Amino acid sequence: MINRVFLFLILGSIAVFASNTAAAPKELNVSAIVMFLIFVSATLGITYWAAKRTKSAKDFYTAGGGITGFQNGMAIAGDYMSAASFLGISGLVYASGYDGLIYSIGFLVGWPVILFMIAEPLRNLGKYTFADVASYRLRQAPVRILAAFGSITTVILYLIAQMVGSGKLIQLLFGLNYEVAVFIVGILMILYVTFGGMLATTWVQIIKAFLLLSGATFMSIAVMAHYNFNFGELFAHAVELKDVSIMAPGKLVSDPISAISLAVALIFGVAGLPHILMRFFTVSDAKEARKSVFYATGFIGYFYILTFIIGFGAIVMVLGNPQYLDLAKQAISGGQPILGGNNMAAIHLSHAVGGDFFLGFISAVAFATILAVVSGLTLAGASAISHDLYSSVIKKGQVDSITEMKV
Amino acid sequence: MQKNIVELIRNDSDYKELVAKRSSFSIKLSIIMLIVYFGFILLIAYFPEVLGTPLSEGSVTTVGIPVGMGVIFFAFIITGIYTKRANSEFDDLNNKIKDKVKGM
Repeated sequence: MINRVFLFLILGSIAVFASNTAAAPKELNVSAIVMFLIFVSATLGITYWAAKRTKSAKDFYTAGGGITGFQNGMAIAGDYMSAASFLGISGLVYASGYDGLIYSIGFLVGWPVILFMIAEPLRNLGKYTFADVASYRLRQAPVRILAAFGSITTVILYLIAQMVGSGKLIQLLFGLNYEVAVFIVGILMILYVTFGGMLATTWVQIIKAFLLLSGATFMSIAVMAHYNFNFGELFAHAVELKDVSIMAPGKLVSDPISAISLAVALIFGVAGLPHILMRFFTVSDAKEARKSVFYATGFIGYFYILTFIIGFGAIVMVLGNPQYLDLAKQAISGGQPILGGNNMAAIHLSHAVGGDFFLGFISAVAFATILAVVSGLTLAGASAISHDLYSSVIKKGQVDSITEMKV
Repeated sequence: MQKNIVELIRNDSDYKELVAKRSSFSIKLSIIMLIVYFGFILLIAYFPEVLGTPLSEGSVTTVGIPVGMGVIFFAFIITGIYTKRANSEFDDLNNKIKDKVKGM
């Protein structure tokens, strides 16, 4: 039954793409689309596999607690390397150089602090959601409601950002209507979460993290090879094309107060992401939980260094390349706007270094990234609603875990 | 009965040692991490030109690049230090306490 739903969905999306091709302003990138469809079906396959293994509420929310530290570290890194970090940070580096690095450092530094201060006590309680933990000590109902709304708000805000990103990506890739794109993303997301739960999300994250890291590594190496692996030359060329200000902190953090508030926001923001906090519960014990944070920090740090290189690579290879210029926009506002906006800088760079095929790969990975993060988020949101609100507040804990899963 | 065990563990010398060591260690590391990070941010906030100085005469690579990368590496290393100590020393203590309770 489920198989048929998948098939129908994939065929349906192909039909939608086909019907839109006629109206598409830009010619379609066939290899990109093929890569893309392979990726989506592969992840759906994993989801299907996981669905068969998801039996209880514990499986659904925390993948049964049987993921190893290394795997979980990869999955955390996967959660972390969202489209916002990959496309956003490289776009930021592309637009303003060094300032992009400041952001990524802010994202990363939250990690050790989470491990030292939050993860340990959280993990010891052995519950599913943040609200479980808060209500362990405080009065049940009000705390659960508050915490659940906190989680849901974060999830919704975050979801919007991811939807915008994926919509743009699909728009760029297929020449589809933005609304249609967002709609397809929505359906795919729901499928992932409903069938797979945490186990599927975790595996999708692990695979995605691996592919994204390899793709980003390849891009960085390609960029660096162009400059004989000499950072000085890369930076020098970038400065030639832009100006010296990209090498120093500048426009984004212009005054002390905004710099400090940005720093505080970034560091606490990380600690509050519900889908990441949930990951502490997917491993078997505290030892593995700590290890997973350690691995995750390594992957994420490495990844941010790559995005920095990619951003600079985009400056030297995408900027000024007429192939990627948004001519319509240039006519209106002047300057050198690129197609799809600055956030698409990394996507264009992938085309510049690896042609259509690699563009397809990176787009597919970026899209899977969005899907995976979104489903992780939806899961966190779903657990906030069904676990915290429904079963603990409305039913006052009088509900068995099977009904809870259905909700 | 349940309460007794809680009392016992709470008064156990190993437990006290574990709690004291672990919280002081994690607070210390958090503070070090925050000092490094906020040092970096304050440098950006008040003396952006420091990070903007070229590494050497005629080079465009600025001091900010290695410093920024340094902060990333530091975060990685400090997590490693914590994980190592928590997974060996603290967990040993933890198990010792567990064994004691089981033996009762």
